[in-house]
Amino acid sequence: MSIDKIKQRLIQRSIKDTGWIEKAKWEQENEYWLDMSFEIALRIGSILSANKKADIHPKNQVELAEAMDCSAQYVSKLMKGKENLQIETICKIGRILKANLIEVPRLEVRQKYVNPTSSYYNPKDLLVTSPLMSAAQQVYNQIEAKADNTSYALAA
Amino acid sequence: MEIVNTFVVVEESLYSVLFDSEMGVLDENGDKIPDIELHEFSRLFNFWKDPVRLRTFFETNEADLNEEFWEGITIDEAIKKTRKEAKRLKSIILEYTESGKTPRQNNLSTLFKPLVDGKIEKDLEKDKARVEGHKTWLRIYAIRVDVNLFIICGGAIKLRKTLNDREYLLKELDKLEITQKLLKDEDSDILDIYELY
Repeated sequence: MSIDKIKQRLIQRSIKDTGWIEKAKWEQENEYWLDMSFEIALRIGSILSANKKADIHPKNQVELAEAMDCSAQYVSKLMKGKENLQIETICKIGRILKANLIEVPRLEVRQKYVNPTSSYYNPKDLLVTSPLMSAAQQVYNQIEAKADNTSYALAA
Repeated sequence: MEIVNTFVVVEESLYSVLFDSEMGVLDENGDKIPDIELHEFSRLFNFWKDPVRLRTFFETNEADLNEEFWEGITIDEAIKKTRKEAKRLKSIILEYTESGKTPRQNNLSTLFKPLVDGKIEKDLEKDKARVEGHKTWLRIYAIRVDVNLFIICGGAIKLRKTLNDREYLLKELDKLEITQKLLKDEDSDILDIYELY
């Protein structure tokens, strides 16, 4: 068969399926959460696989569905890594699997108790440990400079 | 194994075949998956982003994954690597879909290379497409019909150096043969059968 004839037949007879193009563009636009959904599904699969080897409940999708009190179809769907999961659902699965499936950097503020009336009060007793530390420190320094080390610094 | 349909993936540029062996698959709700999701292009990209099916694949082929060549990659890492490569491969095809309309720009001919390095065939060449990079393992197999005109007939996560020593890779060679044979066959009426639709 000549190449021209093959081309002609392919072009004329094939069923059109170009819908993937729009879908691919959508996936690119939503990559940020689709990646996270995939990571979560991967982690769940990994834990179930390890549970199966160690004979720990839940060790498969059916047992996970029972523990979650939902349908096996829903678990199967979320394990494809394409679901826009609710935080509640993620935490629920995490509790069942005894694993942290999602981690958010925590802002920790540790503040020493100080008596504002005490003449021994040192504003530097205020300790902030977080990524915001340097920003907080800058604010503190500005106030301290303006207040000239007076007790007005307490207003900060 | 027979080809039952061909699909247009990129107008006048990229086609994909549907094999009878892929038909009749059910989804998680027990519904029949439509043919449009089962032709080779769709099937491959659906597989390469499915963590459950990928885990099954890598668990089945764990011995190959544990070969020194793969530098101790774990199953979880292998699943992530596969999805990452698939995303890249799809974005390249998408890019060519948009830019390949003018001959001066990159088109699919720059993505597909002869199946055997350096073995250029005159007609209906067996080709492969892959993502450039260190130890990439995804392959799309296709027959080159003409300049910038390819018909996808398979693909694989190629964990072995050759296609000759694993059943799932040998199957891909068969699919290339079947597709090439169909296209060469003067008397074949498979491509004509769609007149019935």
